Amino acid sequence: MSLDNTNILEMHNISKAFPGVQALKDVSFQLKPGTVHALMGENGAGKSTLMKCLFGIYKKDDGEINLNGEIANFKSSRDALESGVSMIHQELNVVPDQSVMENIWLGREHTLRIGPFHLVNHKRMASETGKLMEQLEMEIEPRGRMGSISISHQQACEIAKAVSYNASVVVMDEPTSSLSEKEVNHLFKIIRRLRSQNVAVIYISHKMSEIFQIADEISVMRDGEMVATAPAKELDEDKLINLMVGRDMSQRFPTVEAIPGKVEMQVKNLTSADENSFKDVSFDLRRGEILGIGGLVGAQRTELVESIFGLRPVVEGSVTIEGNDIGIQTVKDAIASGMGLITEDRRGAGIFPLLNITENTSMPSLDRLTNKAGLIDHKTLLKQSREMNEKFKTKTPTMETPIKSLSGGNQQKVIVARWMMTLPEILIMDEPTRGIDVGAKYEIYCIMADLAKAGKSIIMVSSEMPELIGMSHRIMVLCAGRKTGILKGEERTQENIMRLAAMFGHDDFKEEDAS
Amino acid sequence: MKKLMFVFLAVLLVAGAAFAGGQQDDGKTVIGALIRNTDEQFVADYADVLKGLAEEKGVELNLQDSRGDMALQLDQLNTLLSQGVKYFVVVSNTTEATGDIAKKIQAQGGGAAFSNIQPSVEALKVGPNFYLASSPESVAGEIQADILDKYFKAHPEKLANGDPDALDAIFLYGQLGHPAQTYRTNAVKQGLIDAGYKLNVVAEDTANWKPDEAQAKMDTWLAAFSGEFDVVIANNDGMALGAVESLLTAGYVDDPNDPSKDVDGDGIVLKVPVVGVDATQVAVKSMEEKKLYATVLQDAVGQATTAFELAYMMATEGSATGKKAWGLSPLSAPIDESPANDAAVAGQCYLVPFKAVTPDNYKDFMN
Amino acid sequence: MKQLAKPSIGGFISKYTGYVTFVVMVIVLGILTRGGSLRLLSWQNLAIAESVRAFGALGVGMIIITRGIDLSLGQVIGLSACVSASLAQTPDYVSALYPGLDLPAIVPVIAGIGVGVLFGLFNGFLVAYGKLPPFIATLGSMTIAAGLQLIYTHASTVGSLQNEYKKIAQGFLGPVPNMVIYVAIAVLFLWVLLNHTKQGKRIYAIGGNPTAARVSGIAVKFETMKVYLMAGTLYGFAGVLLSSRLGLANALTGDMMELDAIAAATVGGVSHSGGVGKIGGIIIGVLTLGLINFGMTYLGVDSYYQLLVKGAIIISAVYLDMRRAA
Repeated sequence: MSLDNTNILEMHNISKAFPGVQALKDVSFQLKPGTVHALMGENGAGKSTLMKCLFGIYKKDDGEINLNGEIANFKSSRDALESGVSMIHQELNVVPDQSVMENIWLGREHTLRIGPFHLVNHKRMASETGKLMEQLEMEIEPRGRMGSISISHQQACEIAKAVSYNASVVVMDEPTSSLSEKEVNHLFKIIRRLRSQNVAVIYISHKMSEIFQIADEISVMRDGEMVATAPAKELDEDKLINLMVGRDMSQRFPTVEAIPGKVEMQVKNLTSADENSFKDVSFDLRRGEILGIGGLVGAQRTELVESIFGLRPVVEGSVTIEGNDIGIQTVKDAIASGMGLITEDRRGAGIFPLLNITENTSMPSLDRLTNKAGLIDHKTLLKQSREMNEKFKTKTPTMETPIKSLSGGNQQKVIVARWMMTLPEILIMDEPTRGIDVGAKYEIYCIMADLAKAGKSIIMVSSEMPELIGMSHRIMVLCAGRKTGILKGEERTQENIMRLAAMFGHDDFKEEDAS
Repeated sequence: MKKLMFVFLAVLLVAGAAFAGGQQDDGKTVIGALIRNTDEQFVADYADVLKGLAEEKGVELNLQDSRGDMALQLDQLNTLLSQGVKYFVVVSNTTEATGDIAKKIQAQGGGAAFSNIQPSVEALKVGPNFYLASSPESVAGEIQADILDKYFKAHPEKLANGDPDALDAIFLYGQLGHPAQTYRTNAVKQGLIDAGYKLNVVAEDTANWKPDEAQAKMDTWLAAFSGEFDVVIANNDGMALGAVESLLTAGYVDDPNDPSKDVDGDGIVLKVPVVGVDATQVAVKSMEEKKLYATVLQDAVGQATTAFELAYMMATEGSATGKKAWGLSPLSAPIDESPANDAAVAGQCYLVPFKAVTPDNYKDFMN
Repeated sequence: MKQLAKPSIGGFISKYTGYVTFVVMVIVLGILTRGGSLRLLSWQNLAIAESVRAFGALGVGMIIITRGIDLSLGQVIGLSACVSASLAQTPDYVSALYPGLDLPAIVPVIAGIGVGVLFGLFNGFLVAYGKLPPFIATLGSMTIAAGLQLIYTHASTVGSLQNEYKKIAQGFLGPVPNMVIYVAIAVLFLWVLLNHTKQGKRIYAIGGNPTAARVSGIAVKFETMKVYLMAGTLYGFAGVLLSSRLGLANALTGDMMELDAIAAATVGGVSHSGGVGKIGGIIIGVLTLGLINFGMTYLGVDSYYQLLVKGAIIISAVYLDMRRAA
């Protein structure tokens, strides 16, 4: 790849303003055919706005877009697709109840003409789909139901769909966010295959390690501006973070000063009521300790912590807190025993989007704040909610603002405040920094370190190994629902975590399951 | 959100500007009309006649349709009364409510003429300014019974289906609980029994006044009871025509080879007579084609005109007592039907005759 | 709606659109009717006419806040009206359902409320524990209630109610109709419940995000059941008031009222995506639609056009509601 290759896509001096915000300032971007170009930046840096301008979802205020040297002004994604510019969204746009081939050829089905009727030619659609799959070295049955195949296969089908339009530019937005390690490797194989066929890929992701595996070039955006574009080999993680946050972030994690004390909670032989979930898991958790739980997708980490919290049924085992068997049956019991759970799916299971900050913060504490007459003590409630959010530095215009208008990081702080308001001793955090930008991540880490220092016990489920290593005293690793080991001190390395996480080769097992 | 307000305002202003016109003529005589439900053909015709009369006489008519909702009718009455309207033409939703309606109007010193749904005796006793200008629903049923009695007297062999000793009948009802449904049904059944028939109900169900529902019901019954019924009796013409259509489609006719031939000379091509109520134009046309046997004309023009003239006389002359309306005189002696069975109020009752529409006279009812 | 609306006239209007709209409508109608619609009598009529619907709208409004819907409302009110009326007929009325029965007025009241309670429990059970979609569950119970109404009344009118019973709804306290007092009590109770008890906060939480509600330790099924039960109780009482006010009930009583009540709650700002709605808004919604009915009747607008206008208003309200939610 020489640099004098003609660019397939060029965006010149794109600007876009929303009322009160300059979302894009004079942004230029060049894409060469047959390359993977990573587009990075914190949430709100302008990546999606730039892509939306490309696809005509937003109308750009200024600037010019050239595709193959010609001015391109797409009116819609459909329009772009027909010109060979395709986007694979983070949330896949599939019709689950239709077959793979129907999904791929949606809206342009092959037809047979019989008299005045145009009938769908299923046979031809199947054979064309088969050819596509071959071309991309994928093994997906064209007539299979879309909803019955794994997410990674669904994603592969979307890519196949793009290929079927002879796409010359494919944009992928956080394509690995719901894939396992093995699936990621498969995706990369497909991406490399696309690259070898001279397709240009714009790859949007937060995950540094992936970027360095797959990208040829990296562009970084910050505050609506393009701050750098460079070949991937000239950059490293620290440089990238610097570019993204605009400040030195060599310290990605704060020092966890807390020293674990006596045992707070003991979990013994806990076994899920769901046969395919976790079995016979035992561990203990100390005061002031941050216990990390690692593992691959399908390791049943979320299922384990949600069962401890009473959200899912167990058939065997016990949970003791300070020596008392609490026999958790319901979430209410768990809260009463001093536990809090910050769920993995913040939007789906965490926030009440339309309720305000106060209401979101106080919801699980209402029992405590109701007086004998059955009325809520609003004064105390407001005061405590405000104090909690001030403590965790939630950035919000007012306490009456609906939580949905806050950024992901600030929403997460409200959720932390919510659980701290229940005065818990044990806080379970499932993927606490997922979907949060780098700056806010650091603040969440600081909160965790402070809580541990204050003697609270924390269980942190995470898929990001640096986070596990950087923040936990000990790391418990699960594989296919079994505990495969606990790592402490110097043992906490990426290699050790991977080894324990893949102990039963459960990922292969999962693949079979899925297809 | 401001848009919502704008929509409200726009709608109100347009509605107001378009209809407030009537409010300007303060000198005009005002008559209120409370109409139960114009979804029904008779009531719709009745309302149209009122509108025509009002225009002719230069009267401002405030006509409100309560769409079958008694509570809404009461609200409409309250609103009109609060506006100073005193004289009313009322087609109530139910007899039981007429007493309260009359009392409210009386309290404002007004009066009313009730049509279609008969008022209670209590309502007429509220004061001399309350009148019956109607042909009670039950009379429609009685006339149906009378028509069928004549038919079977002339063609006794037609009773042979099903139980040969009994009149085997299929009934198609209007919306259950609707006053017209209740009164018409009870009266036709009672009328047949009184005429000496042993009534055997082969099948009965509601078709909600609708031809399509009636047709579907009849299709089912034909499959189950072919040859076992003597007659199909419907609460209105729409349903009767639905049944006729079903019978024709199934070839349930005198001569399947020529479905337009009346073989047995009973005046219709179908094997059994079908009767309805309303005498709509479509129904009369069907009679001309020898499909529907008979129907009953509830005289919308007669009822509406009588009621309107009573209200108009009250509004212009202060009282209508003893006067003729639509050429009709009030009863001089009670008859045996409520409310005209009470001697004290018989003088407030104007009975508009129902008319049987049969193969002999249907031509008179064609427009 | 902007979150950071500054304390300006525009902000005020945007925050209290429902109220502002209502006031403007009152003024406009007042002008169009040359003050006629502003007289005490008009207000009394409006209040009496809308009271029963207000109970229905309050009940279904709470259900909509939990992302549910209740189609059975009209028929349950109708059934309650029939049952209560049948126990309040004058003993000497020959066509009475139970001739000779002479009970104190409290008995029919309790019986009517009982009908509502039973249907509330039934609906709540189907939706919360049976996991039936609310639309389907209440479509079923609506049909059942309609059938029971016909069976119970033999499709005829239950009339001639005792004066003592009729006074419950027809009476006045000074210039204030009794009906208004009942609505005021219900509004006060529900306002306290929704705004000042954990119960109320949980209703919003369940509507806002049922999964998050469960994670927060809320017994979602039980709380949902309670909402349907409360709504049923309100319908039961509404049925009593309706029969008392009309002095009769029949199988058509309450027919289609569910649509008016749902429309009123929607116009009053209750969002069908759940989690949003205020008691004051619901009442304003009821009054707004009521005022439209009243105003158009007063102005002599043809009934057919009244339906047209009402339909247009409901559609605009829902359209704007969706805009806001998006």
